[in-house]
Amino acid sequence: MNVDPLHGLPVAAPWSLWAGQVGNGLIWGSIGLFLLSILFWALQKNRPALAKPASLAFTLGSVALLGSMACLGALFVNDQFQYQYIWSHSDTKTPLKYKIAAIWTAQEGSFLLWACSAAIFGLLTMRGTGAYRRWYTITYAGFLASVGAILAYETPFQIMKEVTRAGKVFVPQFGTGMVPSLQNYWVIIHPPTIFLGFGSLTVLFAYAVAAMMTKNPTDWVRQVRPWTLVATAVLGLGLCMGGLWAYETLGWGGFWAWDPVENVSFVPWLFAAALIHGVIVQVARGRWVGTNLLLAGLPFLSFVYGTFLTRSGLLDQVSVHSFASMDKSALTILKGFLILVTGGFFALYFWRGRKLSREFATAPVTEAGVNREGLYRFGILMLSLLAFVIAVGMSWPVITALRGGKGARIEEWLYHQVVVWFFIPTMLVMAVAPFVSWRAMGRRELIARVINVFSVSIGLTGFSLIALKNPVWGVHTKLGETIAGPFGSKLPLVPWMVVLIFVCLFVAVANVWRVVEMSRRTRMSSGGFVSHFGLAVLLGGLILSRGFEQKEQAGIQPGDTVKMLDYTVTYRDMSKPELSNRDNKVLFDIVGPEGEKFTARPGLYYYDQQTKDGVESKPQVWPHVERQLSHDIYFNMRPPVIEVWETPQRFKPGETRTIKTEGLEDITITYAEPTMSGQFGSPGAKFGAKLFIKDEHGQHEANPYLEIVEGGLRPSLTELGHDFLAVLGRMDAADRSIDLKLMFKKPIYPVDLYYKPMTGLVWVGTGILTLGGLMSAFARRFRRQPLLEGGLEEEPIEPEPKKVPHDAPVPAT
Amino acid sequence: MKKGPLVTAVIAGLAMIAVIGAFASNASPYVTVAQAKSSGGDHLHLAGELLKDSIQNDFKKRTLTFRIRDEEGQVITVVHKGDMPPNLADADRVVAVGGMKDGSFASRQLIVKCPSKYEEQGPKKLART
Repeated sequence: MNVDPLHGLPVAAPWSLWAGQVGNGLIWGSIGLFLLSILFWALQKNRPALAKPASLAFTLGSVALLGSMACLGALFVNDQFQYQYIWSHSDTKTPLKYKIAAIWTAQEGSFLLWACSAAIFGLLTMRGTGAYRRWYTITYAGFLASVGAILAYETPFQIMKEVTRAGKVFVPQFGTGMVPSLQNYWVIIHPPTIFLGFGSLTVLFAYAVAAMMTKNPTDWVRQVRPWTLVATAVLGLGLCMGGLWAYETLGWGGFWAWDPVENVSFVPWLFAAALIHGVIVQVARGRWVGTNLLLAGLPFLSFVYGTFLTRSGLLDQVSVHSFASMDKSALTILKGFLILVTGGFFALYFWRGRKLSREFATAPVTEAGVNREGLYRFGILMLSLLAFVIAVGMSWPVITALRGGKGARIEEWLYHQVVVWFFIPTMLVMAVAPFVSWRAMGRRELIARVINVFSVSIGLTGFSLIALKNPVWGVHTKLGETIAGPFGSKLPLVPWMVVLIFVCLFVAVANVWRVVEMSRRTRMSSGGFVSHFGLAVLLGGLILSRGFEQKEQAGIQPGDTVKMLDYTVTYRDMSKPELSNRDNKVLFDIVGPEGEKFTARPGLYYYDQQTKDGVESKPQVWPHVERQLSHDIYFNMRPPVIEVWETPQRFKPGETRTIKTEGLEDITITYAEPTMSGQFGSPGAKFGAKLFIKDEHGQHEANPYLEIVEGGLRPSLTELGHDFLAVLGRMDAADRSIDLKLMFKKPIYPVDLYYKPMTGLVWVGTGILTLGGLMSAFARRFRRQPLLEGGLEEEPIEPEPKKVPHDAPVPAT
Repeated sequence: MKKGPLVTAVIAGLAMIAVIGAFASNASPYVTVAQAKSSGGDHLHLAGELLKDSIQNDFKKRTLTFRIRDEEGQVITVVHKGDMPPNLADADRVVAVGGMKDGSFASRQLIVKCPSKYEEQGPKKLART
């Protein structure tokens, strides 16, 4: 009876087993090499010659990690399903691009990707670290060795026990494949981008540690500056990509949901953005030495903390992402690493960083009035507070659970209410900042410089409202609508939106203004203003797209034409004959209020999934986004509904039920009695149920039945009225009750139509923001000759900032 | 003389107190059926085991009705305004977000917890049949 599951399976090729062992060996090897590098650098103080092998060990360790990734990739591409990780995430039918992307779709692979990204940045930065190299490498290698150790336990190179017998390994014919909802082009580009961002955070952290250990908290800021910009730009791009991915595939029409996984990436970004601004002040003014040391550590630390929080299962109840539980030893290493780096870093900061800060920071030049340093301080404060608030928010379930009880969670609306208090001041600072110089200016002078921009922004805000009222650009929002405000109040939507639109426009206009002003003098230093402009565009897009969003839901049957918002929606057809085709689309013809026509093509297909009860067919849907210049039409379709009742309903003789469905006829079903025809127990015999049906067309009788055929019972599909089909499920001989399944004659497609104005700005803003960040990074790339900051900053109304006295590099001991 | 850091610290402190106060008074608590019945509020998170036979979906009205059993063994009917999450049929645990209304739990949002897809499948199927 029991068939040998391994019968007929091919034996694994020697190379594939070898590749797995090499991949695993490379991870262990990298741990050894990183530890060796740490050891050599530690001893190098008295034996300078060790610097060379120490660097070599680090380089080889990094290359080993990349090599391990290559092994995993080769095994994926060649369908080596004897490996648990590959069997779980790939299949022969998986397209090549997804086989490669499958490397990072789960826990093990994403740790490997993190390690590799950090290793890449380690290799890139190592040569430019100068006198910091010793401590920088020790810190960096310490981190990579720890991730290596996590990977050693959480290894993707595990061969399944089930396919091993008598020393031989057999290759399953197929894997379970990548989760269908992930199979989208974003899975190829989003994770590598955001993990490069995460990897780059190690650079900032290692620099801060090295600066404190070498007691030279000044030189590092110039060196770290371009990397800060790269880290923020890449991580920011990754975040935006994640939002766009969610928007395009998840079907709820939004970009950001304050999910723990999103917050874990956002908090480090905020700290890194704060660091960018702190570094500017230290380079120009020699101040904020301690602040920058702290700000450089926080992005990395908050990310390690967030990783722990999301992978440990502590947030299991809250997140929509479900996490596979991590290997116990790997989790212990992660926890130990988190405690060690956090404790170590703060101890180092309080023990040495603050002292260095007092020693090295230049005295404040107290000038009355608004100056750039003051604005930077305020901006950094806002960004850091925001990061801290979000970190507290995502930890809230854990914090409250620790106090006893079942815990509590921060919902999206509460995040919005809290965040806005930081958002508006931050935006106002970003709008004023371009016109403020290091030299303090009086209030009147400041107003004189900003008044033009302010007036233009007010004007544009008014104009934007008129434009949005235009039917073609159409915001159909009614004036009476409200949203939840703070302290349980209700804010009128439109005035509130006006405030938000204004702050975004104010920032956008101010920064464009400044870029234009500066373009006459110098080109490259406008990266910061370009970023701020991009940020304003991006946030404006998010605000308009969400705030003025409108939504209507409907159920559409083939042949129906339904009015949704001002759009007429007609079901047309399926694009592919077979529903298992990944490319199948359901076509809906849509006519807009201005007579514009388009076809919405939401995706629908069914895939087989193994469950406890065998193979089940599961639907997968993709929304359709119709992009237009002024708005998106977001058309989300859910899997068609065929069954009226999810579970068959039991009828006793004489029992009556009425089914009311909007848009369809009401129908009343009365079960009279069981019937039987034919020879009991032989093929052709029918067990039926006599039903009386009442609908708008009168009354009739229906007789669904089960027919005995060879191999079992076959139910009939019996029409009930115009819209329904009945299937008899089960008959109880004892009490003569029946189970009845009711289905729609034509499937109903539940659809949501969203009107989302100005969503295109999200894309444009993302692009400009990233461009600005990379422009700055390029302009601030570290050269042996430090850039003359003053030359790029401001017209020479201010004296060149004094050179920091302690700027001379401290010779390596 | 150094007023900057002091002002900074005061602003930061006040902001944090305000935020933590806001979180503490507005966070949405996880509750049991008994707690849901005794406490008001519209942001309760009610977690429980989904009784699959009880699912009824009236999607033209976009209303989903089902029952869940909490860890204390109490059962309650949940009326969810909105669509059926596609993976509801696989779910064993559900978190419904909302509050009590007319004796049942009126839910605005459903968080569905699926058993991890590939973890516990019993014997693995290795060859195509």
